[in-house]
Amino acid sequence: MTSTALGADTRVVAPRTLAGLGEDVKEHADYAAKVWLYTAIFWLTFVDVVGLTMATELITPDFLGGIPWLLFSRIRPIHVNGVIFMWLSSMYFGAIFYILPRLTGLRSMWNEQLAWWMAWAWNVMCVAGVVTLALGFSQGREYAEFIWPIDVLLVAIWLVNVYNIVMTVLNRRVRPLYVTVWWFLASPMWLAADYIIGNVMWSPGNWLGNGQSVALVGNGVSGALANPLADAMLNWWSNHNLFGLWLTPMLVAITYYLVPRITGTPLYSQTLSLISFWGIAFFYTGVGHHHLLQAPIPGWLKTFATVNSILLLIPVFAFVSNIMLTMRGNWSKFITNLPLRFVLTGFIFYFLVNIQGSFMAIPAFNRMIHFTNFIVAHAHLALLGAFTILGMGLIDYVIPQIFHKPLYSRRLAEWQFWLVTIGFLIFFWSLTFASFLQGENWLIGIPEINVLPELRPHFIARAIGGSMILVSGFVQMYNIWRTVRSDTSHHIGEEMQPLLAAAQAPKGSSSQAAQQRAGGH
Amino acid sequence: MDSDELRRIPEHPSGGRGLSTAPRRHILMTPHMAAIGGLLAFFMVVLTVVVLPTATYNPPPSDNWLPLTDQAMKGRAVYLANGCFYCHSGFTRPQDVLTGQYYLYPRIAEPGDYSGSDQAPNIMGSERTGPDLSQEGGMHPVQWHEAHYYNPRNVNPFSIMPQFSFFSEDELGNMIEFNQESGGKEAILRLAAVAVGDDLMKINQGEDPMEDGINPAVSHLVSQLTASNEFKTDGKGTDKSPSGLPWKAVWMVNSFERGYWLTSDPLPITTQNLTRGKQIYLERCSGCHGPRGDGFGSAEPFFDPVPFNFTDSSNTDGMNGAFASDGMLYHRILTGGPGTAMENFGTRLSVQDIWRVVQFLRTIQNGSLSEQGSVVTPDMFLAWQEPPPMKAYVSSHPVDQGPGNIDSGDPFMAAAHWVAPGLGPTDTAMVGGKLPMTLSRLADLIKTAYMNQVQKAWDDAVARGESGLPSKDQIFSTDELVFHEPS
Repeated sequence: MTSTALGADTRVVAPRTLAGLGEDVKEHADYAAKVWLYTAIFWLTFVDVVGLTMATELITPDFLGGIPWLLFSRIRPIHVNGVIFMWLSSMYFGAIFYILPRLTGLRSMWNEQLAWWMAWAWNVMCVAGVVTLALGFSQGREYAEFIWPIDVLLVAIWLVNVYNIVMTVLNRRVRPLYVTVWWFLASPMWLAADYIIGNVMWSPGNWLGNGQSVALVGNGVSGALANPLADAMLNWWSNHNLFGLWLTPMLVAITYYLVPRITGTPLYSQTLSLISFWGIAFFYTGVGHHHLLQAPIPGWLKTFATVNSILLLIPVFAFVSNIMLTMRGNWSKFITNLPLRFVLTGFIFYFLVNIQGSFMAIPAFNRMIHFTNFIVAHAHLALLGAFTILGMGLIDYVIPQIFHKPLYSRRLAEWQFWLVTIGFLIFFWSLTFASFLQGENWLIGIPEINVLPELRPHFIARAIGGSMILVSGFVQMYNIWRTVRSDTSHHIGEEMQPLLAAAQAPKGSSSQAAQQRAGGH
Repeated sequence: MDSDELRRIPEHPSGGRGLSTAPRRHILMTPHMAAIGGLLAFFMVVLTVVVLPTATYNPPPSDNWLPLTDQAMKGRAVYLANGCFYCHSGFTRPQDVLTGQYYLYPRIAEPGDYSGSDQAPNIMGSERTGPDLSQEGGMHPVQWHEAHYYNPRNVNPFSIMPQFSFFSEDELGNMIEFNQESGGKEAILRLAAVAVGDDLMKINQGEDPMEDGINPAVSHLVSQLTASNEFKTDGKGTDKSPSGLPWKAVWMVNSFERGYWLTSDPLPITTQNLTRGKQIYLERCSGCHGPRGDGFGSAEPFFDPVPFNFTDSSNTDGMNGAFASDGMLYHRILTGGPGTAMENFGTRLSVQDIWRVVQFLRTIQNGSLSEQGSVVTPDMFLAWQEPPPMKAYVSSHPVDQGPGNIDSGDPFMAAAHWVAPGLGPTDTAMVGGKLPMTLSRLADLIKTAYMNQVQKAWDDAVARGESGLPSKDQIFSTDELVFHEPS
């Protein structure tokens, strides 16, 4: 039995033991991973709804006008923090709690209960974050809007997860650490450090957020440095590390796991993965100031950020070539295996966003695209094109693995893939073209207001693309729900009859096994 | 398929191709290397790009820097809570300031402009949907902001900004105060000029100069002049000036540059020009001047003085379109109305388009806006008739005896010239028939209003215990002060 196009990798039920590599574990708990992933699916749809609302408000500004908590500028931080912390971080923790036991030869995480409780605590944090931001309780710093109490909750949960991960690794049964585990160890630690520093968490100040004028004394500023320029530098440095030290490394880690796993091919090179690990650790940490190339900050810092942004190509190329070489001879699976297609689509967008990002940091180019929608398009290329599509593929892969049965509907999953991919491409290109209009016009002295009517068609196209992405999220939600709740084993028979016949294993077919398990529901 | 092939553990490189030709038996990275080594790499960079610049970079306040008043700081909190900085940046870049052209932004942001904890957290922003607001102070009068926050489409039909009609009175006032103080001393100077210009317009309309909304500097001057019997308490705007033009109209005429007083529209009257003019009118002007051109746009309730009415042909007090010459209308659209909510469109419309709008305005009396979707034709055009008293006034105030080149070294004189660009150095205009105004008195008035505001900001900052304040001398120094017209 092979890994089928439906994503059901039946190797876990094959009782063959490869000593010391953890394959002898037949049943994993996956207790916490399920909760993290289910809620991630919910938050994805939620942040998509918020994003589409914002896109609509940019087309018809009086839509929902005058309702303070639905204001574009009030829900924008919900969208941004929602994508990073509610959707992607939940999905990534789900991925860690699913993958890590498998790579360490354990049945579950070191403390699976703890990871489960943290999933619910995380969701409480998310709801609190949404409510406070909508009500205007904000630190007023981009990407660092959560007020101090929510920061504390976030970091506390985060550190508990880090502890759980470290303890799992220290108690592992497989001695060598696969490259994915390096990232699982380092990346959450980096983010915790980055979040604490970037949010100036040792200075709660006016802890209800700077949007509340309760404390107006100089030192009352909450979660920010008192010197506004130093604060801007810190703000953008830490913001970029949300991507550089958490979202990107986790994409790399998951791709390093899923591509060899789904294709059944060993990773091409461990040496290249070393380069990608240490390259990102050293070069990605110092690029954030490229957001401030035109701002009055020290020149050497701008140079440092630009140079590091270009050096970043080294780990990116190391990672990309490693995956491409692993994929040699496997590209037919890109068509037939849906989770792999998601993962590699995300991977391709990841490659593009890094090339784009490096060149955006070149001052001459930055001059034109700075402050325009190019940045918005770039951010969505990363967070939507790369991380979200990868996350969708991960969920479509992991849920069938956990339940040992194929997805409810491959056709729905195809719809999900094409809706999100085409929707994203419409979104990306409309905003990119819009940004050229903005940049070119501004450079010759045409004011922002004159460019707005020209942006309108692009904003409409963006909203159309955005609706497709939202529908894609709903499709996944429905598909996963049906996969979990219903007996899907017969779907193998419908679509995969020829393959099954060829690969039928002598000791009991997977569909029987799946039927037995599904009977329990 | 070979079952061994299927069951190979992909995580374990079992060789065959690539750089690792043999399975690795040794461990490539230990948990300690990944976790502790990773953190060491991270903190090494933190030391370089976070700790080092934070510790070494602390530029002193620039000559333009001023602290915020307490009210503006409350407004800043409203600004942060409502996420204004997502669409409005908080610094101007070198490429934003084009020398030799109409400027959008007066100055390039300097390190010293960002000093003092009253500006933390930063609001630098990452995206511009609307304009930069770091130098918004004095760009618009307060009443424009009120109309704009209530619904931005009131004053700017192109705007896609959300409505902030839910602001409480306090929030709105604080927010506007923050907007008006953004941009340091230059902003306060513009603000003083706008406020004084606004008050003089109101007094010209017959309002009591001692009432609440009037700037204390103006009220103070009026009480001084009342004491010295220079203020004509019983004067009216309709009283005739020596040339026969009512004083009310004289002040209006002096809000235009002399060179434009009698200039006529250079464009031929064609359907194309008129149609383009109408299009621009509907896109940009209808919010205030109304879809029918009668001055009753949706923003009208917020404004005093009210917007020009273009349907009225009889008025001679200066408050309608028929009173103003083509050149005056052009000047008004080009540079905005000092002290009124009328904006400067010089950065947004081409010269030709402004003249087309002026041409179109002359057709409104003939019903070019009376019906939605109606076609405007050249036969609707009504040429401007010079009111006879205006002829007398204009001929007794020739361009060559006008203000000429005002000494640009004095920012207050430059501001006064912006408020009353028609006023010559020796002229005296009775504002509203009551208040005798000369250019130097106007400059003093603006200086008083400016200094009052600086004093307030300084007092508030000292009372707050703001750290890193520059010397009092630097705060009150006007050596480097430049007047930039609201753009």
